[in-house]
This record gives sequence, C-alpha cells and structure tokens, in this order.
Amino acid sequence: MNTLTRIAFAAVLAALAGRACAADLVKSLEILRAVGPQGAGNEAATAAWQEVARSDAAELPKLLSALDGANPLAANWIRTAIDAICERTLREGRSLPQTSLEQFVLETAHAPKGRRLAYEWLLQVDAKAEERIVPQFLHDPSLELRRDAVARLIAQAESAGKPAETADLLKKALDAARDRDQVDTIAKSLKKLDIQADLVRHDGLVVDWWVIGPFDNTGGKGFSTEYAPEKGFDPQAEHQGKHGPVRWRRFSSDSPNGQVDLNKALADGMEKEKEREIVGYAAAEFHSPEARFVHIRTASDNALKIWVNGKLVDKHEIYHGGTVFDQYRAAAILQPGRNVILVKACQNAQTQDWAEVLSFQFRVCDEIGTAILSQKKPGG
Amino acid sequence: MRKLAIPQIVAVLALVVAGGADWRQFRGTDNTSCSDEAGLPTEFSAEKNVAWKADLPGRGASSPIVVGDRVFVTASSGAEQDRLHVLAFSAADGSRLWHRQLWATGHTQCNPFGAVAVNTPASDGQCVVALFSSNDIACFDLGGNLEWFRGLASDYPATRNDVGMASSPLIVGQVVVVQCQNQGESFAAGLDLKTGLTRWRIDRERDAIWSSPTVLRGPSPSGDVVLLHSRDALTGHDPQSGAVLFKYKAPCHTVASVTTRGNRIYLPAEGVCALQYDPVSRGVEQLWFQRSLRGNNSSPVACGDYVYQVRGPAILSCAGAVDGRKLWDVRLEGAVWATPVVAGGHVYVANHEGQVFVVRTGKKGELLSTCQADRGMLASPAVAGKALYLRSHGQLWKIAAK
Repeated sequence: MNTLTRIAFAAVLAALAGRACAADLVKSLEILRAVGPQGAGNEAATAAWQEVARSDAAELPKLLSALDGANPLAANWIRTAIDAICERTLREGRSLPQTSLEQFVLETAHAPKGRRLAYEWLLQVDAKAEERIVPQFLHDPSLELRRDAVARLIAQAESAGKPAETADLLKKALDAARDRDQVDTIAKSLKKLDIQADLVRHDGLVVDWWVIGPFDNTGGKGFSTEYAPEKGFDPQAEHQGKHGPVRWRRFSSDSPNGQVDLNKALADGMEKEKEREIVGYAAAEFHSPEARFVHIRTASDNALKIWVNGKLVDKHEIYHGGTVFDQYRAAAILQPGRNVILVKACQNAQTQDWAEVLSFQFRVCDEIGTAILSQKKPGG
Repeated sequence: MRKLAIPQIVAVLALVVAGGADWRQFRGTDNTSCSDEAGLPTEFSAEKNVAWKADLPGRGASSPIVVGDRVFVTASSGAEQDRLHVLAFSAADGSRLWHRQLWATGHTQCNPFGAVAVNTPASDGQCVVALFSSNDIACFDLGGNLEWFRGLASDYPATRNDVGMASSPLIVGQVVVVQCQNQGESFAAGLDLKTGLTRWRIDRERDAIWSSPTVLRGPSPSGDVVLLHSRDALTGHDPQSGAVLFKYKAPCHTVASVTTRGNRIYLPAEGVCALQYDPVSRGVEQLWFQRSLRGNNSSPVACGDYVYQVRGPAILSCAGAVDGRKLWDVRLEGAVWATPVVAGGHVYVANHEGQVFVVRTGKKGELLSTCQADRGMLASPAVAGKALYLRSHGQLWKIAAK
C-alpha cells in the first residue's frame, strides 16, 4: 500500500469507527431516555451511562439535545454524564466546544434545563460569555437564565443615580421576574420610591370568590365527604352546613398577597371564632379566550382539594405543615369562555394558636409562573 | 455493575482494609456517633489545626461522610433549592475530586433555616448513596460514575413535607433503607444497593417524622436489625424484607434518631429510654428511663460507659450507660441542632453559630475549649483518620493536628 492509499484506508476506518461510536452513543442515549418510575430501565442505564460518559466533548451538542423532551428521571442520567465529560475534559487540560455551547444556549427551542447546563459549562471556558449574553435572557423561557438577567437589572437599579432611572429599571425587572425572592426584592425597592407594585396582578392571584360554609370536618372526615358544592356550582343554591342552612356569598380578598381568609369569609356561620373541624368552599368564575393548558398554583396550611370545571386537579390532605408561595402546582385545562374553579379547604382539630388559620392563596399561570388573568371580572 | 480493572480492585481493597477508620453514614458507620479515633485536636482556630477548608456550591444540613481517602458531601442550591449536588473531596488536601449535579424531581420546599440537602449520604465503602429532601436518591461509585437514580416523588407523588424530609438513608448489607414518613403517602422502603430497585416497601403512619433509620448490628450480618420509630412506637425490622420483628410503644421524638451500642438501644422518648435487645427472641425490654435526658432535636450518643444528650438550646448532659443515672451537665452556648460526636475521651458539640465546644468526658464533664468554625452549622461532624470534619451551609472544614 502506498502512503496515499494508507491514509485513505485509515480515513475510511476512522469514519466507520466514528459511525459505530455514533451508533453506540445514540443507542446508549435511547436507553437513558427510556428510564422510568420504580427504577424501570435502571439496570440497562448503568452500562449506557458509562458509554455516554466516555464520549468526547465534541459530542456535547448531541448529548444536550437529548435533554429535549427527556422525562425528569432520564434528564438526570444524561446531565450527570455531561458533567462527567466536561469535568474530565477540563482536567485533561482541554477545552470545551465554546461556539457550539453558546449556540445551544441561545436556541430557545431547546429544553430550558439543558440550555442552562450548557451555559454553566460555557462559563467555565469563556468567562466573558456572561457579560455578552445574559442581557438577552430577560424574557427567556428558562427561569434560571432569566433570573440572571433580572438580577443584573436589579443591580443596575441599585447603582442608578436618578430615582426615575431606578424606577424604570425596577419596573422592567419586575415585568420579567418570576422567582419569588426577586419579585419581593423589587417590590421592596419600588416601595422605597413610593411606588406600590401590584403583586396580585403580577402573580395572577385570584381574589374574587363566592364562598360557602362551614361544613363538618369532625375527625377529618370532611376531606373525603362529597358535600353539595362539589356536585355543581349554583350561586343561588342553599345547602345544609355544619350548623344549619348555608348559602353562597361573594367575598373579595383585600390582602396584598391574595390570601383568601375563610375564617373571615365564613365567620357568620361559625359557632365560635376560628372554629375548628370545619370545611369551607370557594368558587370563582374564570374566563379564558381560548382552550389552553394552565398551571394552578396554590398555597395553604389546610387540607385542600381543587376542581376546574368539575374535574379534580389537585388534592393535599396535609394540615399545618408549613406553607410558601406556589406550594402546590397542578396542571389543568381551561375551556374557552367561562370556567368554574372550586376550592375546598379543611380545618382540623389542632388547638394551637398557629393552627387557627383557614385560608388559601390561588393563582393561574403558565408553566414558568407568568400570570394568566381572567378576561372578565366577576359579575362583569 | 461494571467490571473493575486491577488498579480499581486494588483501590477498593485498600478502602475496604481502611474501612475501620471510615465514617460511612449519618452518625458514623454504625450510627453511634462514637469513634475509636484518638489524637483529634481539642482546640483549633484560623491559625491552628485547620488542615483545609473547601467552599461548597450550596446549602446543606447533611453531614460529610468519609470513605478511605475521600470525603463526600451533598448540597442544594438555586432559587427553589432544586439543584442537588454530590461532591467528593480529597481527605488529604481538600481538593475537589468530582462534582455531580441533579435536578430535583420532587418537592423542594423546606424550612428556610435548612436545605434540600439535609439527608446525610451513606456508603458501603464502594459507592455513595445520596438522598435529598425532594425524595431524589442517586448512587455513584467512588469515582463519580452514576450507578442508578430514583425519583421517589415520581413513584409516590403525595410523599412530601413542606418543612423538609430530613431522614437519612441507611445501608445495611445490600439494602438501602429509606424512611419517607410524612402526612402524605407515608412509607419505608428497602432499595437494592446495586440497582436501586425496590426490594420491599411498607406503609408507615401518616405523620411527619424527621428521624433516620438506625442499624442494630447482629452477631452476623443476617442478624442486623433496622430500627424505625413513629410518634408512638419503635419498631425493629428485617432489613431484607422490612418485616416487623418487634414493636415497643413509647412517646418517641419526631426529629431525633435512635442510637445503639451493642445490643442496647437508646430511644429518644420524652427522655432517653434504654432497651435491651435479645437477638434470640428478637424482642426488647426496658433497662431504664431517664427523663432528665429529654433532648432537643439532636440524637442521643452512647459511647463507652456514658450516654450523652443535648438538652434545651445548648446543655450537654451525661448519664451512665448501664443504669441511666444522671452524672453531669455542661452548659454551652447558642442553639445546637447537630448531634455531637465522641472521640478520644472528648465530646465535640457544634452549634448553629459555628462554635465547636470540646468537652472532656468521664465521671465529670469539663469544657476544654470553644473553637470558631463557619456559621450556619446544622450538620453533625464526621470523625475519621484522626480528623474531625465540619460542614456548614457554605464550607467543609477538616480539623486535624498539624
């Protein structure tokens, strides 16, 4: 074989080996993407992970793309392999493919988590990337990338000289902010400028309700008892409550954080103030211009059930275990026009002062927390 | 499991041989918080006996564990604490050997005082199992290769506690025991150490419990017993099947965990209740009960002739292990959450403010020194290789005589 032939033969072999390796990698990624609940696929995935983790860093775009549409369990198998590849490559004194990483980060069609992962490894080899691309993330579908851009605006506002400039930057930041801590920080800063942020609107908190109750929750049995309000919402109806007949009435929360206080709303029907072992219902009409998926996000220290158009979408039989904003998240489908949301909140028998609360916070938003507002006010 | 090359086998054997000095899970390899190590420093400061410090990428109340020449620790970060970290450091110099991250698949709400990385990882000497408050659990080999991953929240979505799920995993033989006891879907399970698949699962009372499973070592591995407790009873279980071997009714602490020493069980229950386990009948009977050892949230420690318990915000109390007779109190400072460790005749107690109190133990207790480490210390220290490992929300410290 002459030299030219040898080179050509070696190139063919390399191409074939490359195809074989590529085929192995694709197969291994398929195995990782197939893992499921109860450890399904774990045994095959262990070997596949080794195969994937042996890949060259040049394969990173392919591996990152495998995160698109991957279930949350599979995503962790894939990301740990990516971490292992990047870590090994840098330890060996080699670099990561900067251009393709940056391209991946900027393509918003990719999975938000994959883009963030690519961004963090990009920063390891290109410290200037942050300055260059973070401003583009202000309205990004990746919450983590968006957070960096919002943080940047907050920092700019803090160092801005004129109040008007500060306010302008803070308003821009608030418009983009979805993380609770950032929203609170911005609202606090605006307040120092005598500007009251409308967080009820920003978050899409539902504050106008019909309420009815109390019903009986002695021994916690009310949580699973199907009382009349669960059979259909009729604001004119009268039902039998814990202490006698009860009727729907309107209640609007004036709390700045949208808390719906059922101890207050149902006080007239209670035997004593902040009565224990009761159930309260709240219903809201929510108008949507179109059929769409939404997130129903709630927070409560009481046991809760939530229905949208008669379909149970979330339930938690947990009492006084602590609560935070967006504590519970459930997916639901809105129909075009009028939708009826029903919340059932249950109070247990605990007697401590901190267990007297009977309330909830409720909002409708998209999957990254952007508020979705009813298109029509109650009675409008 | 993948095949090991000869150098890896040698490394594993070296680690197994060195196993006696390891600190492989929550409160040590046998969950006793008691170490045979001698020669630990009894004082340290910025200039003295701090071998190294390493920054951590997130918060954590989980303790470090030590396997051979490696220290493993978990952390959590992110706006919603949904970034989960598992890290390996060189025990010799504190250099970071590997760092893997996971995305939480379960609930990450927890007390802002704490973290999602609140459960201490566990090791059998060949792999590291990391569990988080989100009910995500992963197993890595010592080199950082992922062996398996489970998102228990995807299997049991109603399993949650909004101030955090703090129970640490326990490795007994080839089984990883987890106690996911809460107001939602409440259970304990034994997962296969090699695959993560569920070997057994038993329902638990629907009540919030933060305590960790504890091993009571039998005369042979087949005699090992897993101890779990609820608010109203301690139960002993077969680690292979989860079957209940005995039940002892008592008003148990919901945060502190059980401690064992030989066949004795020290149960935190409105005081400390000492039980004698009979490996033949597989039953228990009460030896003594000491109400004045009623503790805070840290677990009792039994080491040698003594039982220790932190009471109130910061009082270290000691009683005789045989009769439960109260011997002494030493008043400390601040708020102590972490379970103390005992080594070389000294009790090391860390408070939340990062102060570490060194108390000489015996028939009398004496506060020898108060040392300052990093603030935000909720984790119980680890002891291995004549060193003390401390973990705060932000840092990992190795304390060793220079």
